[in-house]
Amino acid sequence: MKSLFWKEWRENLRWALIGLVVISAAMAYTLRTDPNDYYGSNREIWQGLQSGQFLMVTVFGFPVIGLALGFLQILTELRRDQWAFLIHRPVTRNEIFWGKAIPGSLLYLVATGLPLLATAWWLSQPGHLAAPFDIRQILPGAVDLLVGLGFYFAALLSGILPGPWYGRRALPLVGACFGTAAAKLPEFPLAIEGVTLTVLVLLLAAWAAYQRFGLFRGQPWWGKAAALLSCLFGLSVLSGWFWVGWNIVQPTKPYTSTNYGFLKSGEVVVITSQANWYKSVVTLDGKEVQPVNKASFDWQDFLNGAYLSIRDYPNYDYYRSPRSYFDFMYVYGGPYSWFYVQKEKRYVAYDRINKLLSGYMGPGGFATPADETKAGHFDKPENTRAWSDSIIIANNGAYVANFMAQTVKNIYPPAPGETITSASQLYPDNGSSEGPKNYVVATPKNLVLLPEGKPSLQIPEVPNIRDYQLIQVYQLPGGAKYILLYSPQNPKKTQNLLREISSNGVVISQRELPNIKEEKAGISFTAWTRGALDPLGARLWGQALLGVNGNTMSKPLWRLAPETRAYQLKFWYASLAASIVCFVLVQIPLRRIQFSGQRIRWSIFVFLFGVGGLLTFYIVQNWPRRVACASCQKKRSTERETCEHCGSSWPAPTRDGTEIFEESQA
Amino acid sequence: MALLFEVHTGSPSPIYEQIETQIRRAVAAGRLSIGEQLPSVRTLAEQLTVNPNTVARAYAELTTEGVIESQQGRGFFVAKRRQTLSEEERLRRLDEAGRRFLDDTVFLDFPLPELLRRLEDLSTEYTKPPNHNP
Amino acid sequence: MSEYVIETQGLTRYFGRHCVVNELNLRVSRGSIFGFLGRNGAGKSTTIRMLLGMIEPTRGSARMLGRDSRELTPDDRARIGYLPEGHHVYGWMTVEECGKFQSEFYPKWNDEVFRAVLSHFRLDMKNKAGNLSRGQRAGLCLALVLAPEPELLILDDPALGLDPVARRSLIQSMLYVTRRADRTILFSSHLLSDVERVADEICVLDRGVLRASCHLDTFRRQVRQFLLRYDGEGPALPDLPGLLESFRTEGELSIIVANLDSDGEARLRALPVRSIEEVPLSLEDAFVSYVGERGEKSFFTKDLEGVK
Repeated sequence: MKSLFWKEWRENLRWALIGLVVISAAMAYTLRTDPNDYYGSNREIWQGLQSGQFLMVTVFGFPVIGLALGFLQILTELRRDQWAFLIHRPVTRNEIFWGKAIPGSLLYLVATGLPLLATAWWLSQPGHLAAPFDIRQILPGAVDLLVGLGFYFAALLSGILPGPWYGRRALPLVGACFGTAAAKLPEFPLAIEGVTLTVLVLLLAAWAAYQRFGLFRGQPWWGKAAALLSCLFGLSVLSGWFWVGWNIVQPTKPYTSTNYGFLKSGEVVVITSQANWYKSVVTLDGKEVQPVNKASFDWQDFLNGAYLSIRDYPNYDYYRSPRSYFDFMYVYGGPYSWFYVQKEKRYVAYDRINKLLSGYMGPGGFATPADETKAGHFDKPENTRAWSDSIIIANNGAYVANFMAQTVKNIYPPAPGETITSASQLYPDNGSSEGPKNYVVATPKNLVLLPEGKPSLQIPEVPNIRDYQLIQVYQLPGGAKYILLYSPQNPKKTQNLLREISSNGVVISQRELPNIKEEKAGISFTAWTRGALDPLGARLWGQALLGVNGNTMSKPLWRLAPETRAYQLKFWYASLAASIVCFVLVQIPLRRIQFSGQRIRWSIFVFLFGVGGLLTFYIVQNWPRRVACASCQKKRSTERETCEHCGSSWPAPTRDGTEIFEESQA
Repeated sequence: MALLFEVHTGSPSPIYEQIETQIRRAVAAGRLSIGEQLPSVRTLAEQLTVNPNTVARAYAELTTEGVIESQQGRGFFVAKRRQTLSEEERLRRLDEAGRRFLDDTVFLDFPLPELLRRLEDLSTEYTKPPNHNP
Repeated sequence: MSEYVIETQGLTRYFGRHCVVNELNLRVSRGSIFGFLGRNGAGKSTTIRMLLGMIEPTRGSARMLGRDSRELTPDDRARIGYLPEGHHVYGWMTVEECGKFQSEFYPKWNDEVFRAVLSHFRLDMKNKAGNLSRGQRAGLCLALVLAPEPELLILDDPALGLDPVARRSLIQSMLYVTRRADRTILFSSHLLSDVERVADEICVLDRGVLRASCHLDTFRRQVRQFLLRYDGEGPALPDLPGLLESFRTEGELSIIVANLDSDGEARLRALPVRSIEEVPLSLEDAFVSYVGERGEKSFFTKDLEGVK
């Protein structure tokens, strides 16, 4: 076996090295710094190992390397006599497979893992990138590395399968794309589980295929299961691609949305907008409002407000995004690139020219690295982002940062026991960012308006504040009054709330606005079809996965709201219907004698996996050739000694009197 | 042994027959004398690059005919000439050989006495074997 | 030890609807040099691949050294040598590395044999295998397959592409292998001169069907050619079951027939012709007529008179 390792390694090392060079060059190219991009916002290079361009190399380049190595290893060896030279040896089939797979995997890791690690090391060194570095940023690349390994095994499998290219052989390659899709799942545990499953399935399917050189029957049970799964994965990816294509081909229905808005006078109107233009503006009485002195409305005709989100949103970490670890502050000017780093709980400055970490900014202000304790840390919960407008909400205040002046100001130290729910800047309505800096802060009990240079205004909150999720705050031009619009969490339970506040903080009026009815479209035929094609087995598996992994954006059925659950269950019924139909259909071929003893297993499989299961059933079988029986004329399998209909055996080849056999031979 | 045999593949005559013929001719012409040892089966097979079974068969036929004899443990030797064939067989073979000769020569248009005279001359090339027992 | 090293029972293989090997019942005895003959596309290579477990039969079975060919263990494979047609080696290895690579798989590797065959073909250890000529590569492959001293040696058209000197060396190596009585060789070949030299037994595969399996001498004895000379029109062809081929020209009819029994020969000699003569047949001519097209062919000079 060692000599097999040596042979495979020597034979394929040059390909791996070529791959290494290509990947390294691609990675270096995507992370090149642009001398014209002073602010570092072009191409988002600050994202480092997680930048979009870099991840293109890992998402596409790694699978290509995996495929290339796999195919080069197996296809070049498959010419008949070359293959015979390898196979006819005192080695087991396992040794032949692992003799290829182990060196091949190592070579793959050399070609892809070394550049990834080298890039990570390079980025971690100070002075190379004007941005923070977190070792967890390597996770997307690492997951993509694993995905590429799946493609490697898919290539080994595809190479050994018999038959034409467009059939069973292409499916594992498509199935490997299942890993690519799984890698895109937001939560790291889900992604790694999905990718690991894909790679494992492809590895087992390849290993088992080498036991029988591509024949399905005779493989160990785990090999058959893996072959079936790899087919299912492939079919599911194909259907996914189909639906993407289908959607592209569909004529686009423009997306319209209807919301409350405010004219410059403060009058509330119902605005229906489609794409980027205002389709209709209607007063509460239903009167159509026309634009004055122009053809159509634009955004300047309405009040622009601040959005205060007062509901607790769970923090989902999208492992592929750097925003799980730090945020880029879009600051135009000054010598530094600014970031809010969650681990640090403060701002960090990097010099744009020499790319070194140059300072920290926290509640205590700005400090150089030597003096960093002076800056302090924001008193915030772990791993929370700086959400908007350079306002940091901490336990001891709402801080506003001025990056040009390198100062931090606490605009609202809370009262003892008071927490700050949300804070935002109230921009002046003339559309510029010049002028007084007005802020608004929300606490559970009050809404606090902080106009610059004027005393703060505390407006007591409504008692059922917990029923709302968003407060929109508008200021009339000239500051005559403030308008507050509250959006409810559960539109069925609560209405919108409109409050008008005078310029000295007195509540002028308060009334409810009816919720704008959303047109609930029926479920289209396309949606039904898609629902039916998703097999029961996949749905069950998905539920199990969501149940096991606690905090995910998608929720398992039992955690959904009743209406949502009822809606989802409709698709489950479609799947069930498809499963029953396929179950019935598969009984026809299952009557054949080659399936005796397997009927129940296959029936259950096809029931669970519906249309995909039925197709997989057809694809993986080795269908024996059937020719007409000499006695009963019905088609009989060439693999059986006796005809399954009439029991006759095969006729001996005709003799014509020229046969020469000796006693011992005849 | 300076005697060299050769075989030709693709001939109507099987290889064992060619070996037999050459040995017979060599014995008849005196190139192999009575009591002389023949190469072992294996040696001759290797020399001619043929299957040893072929040589073995040739030797076996010649032994049956009495041209050669096998001595236990020592190998094959040219036998004292004995006629082991029946009169019928001897005549049959003579007729066969005669027909072959006539086939080859009839188109040369020699009168029969001329043919016989040439035969007599040629036979002097074959040394008369001593101790010929009819 | 059983008598047969290779035994097949109803061995059949389909490619699509086409039956390439049809109910093959073949037996190869231990110790024989067995020639596997047939035209191109007759199914020889497919049969050999089934014997070695490289492809699965559609039906039927084959046993090699007593074991089903689908279940050959590594130990079985150590006792079976296989030289496929293409004389393939890994081009990037040197001759020495090839030997080292191969020897690590076989416990019974005999390095002397390896070197002897190499020197016989005048191969240099340091040469890269990819730079060797066809004949040298054949020599290398032969060395690699002979060094483990296999009990059963299977050669698929080993002389393909070899010059006469290399072919001769090949035959010598084959004969060398069978010095020991328990060693067997199965080889397929189109070069009947080689077959004539070394084969004990042969079999003939014709369109997937085994039509002959016997000693080489038996085959030659059973296929006979007769020349009939006549005046005038000449007789109609006699109804002989084993008639392979006949050729009629002016005044002459030559027929090649297999398995002519005394009854048939009597009928032949009773035909109204001027003379009947048996003409000895070379192995190649016998084989060509055996597997060639049946029926009567004719050539009349008066047909050509009109041709300018």
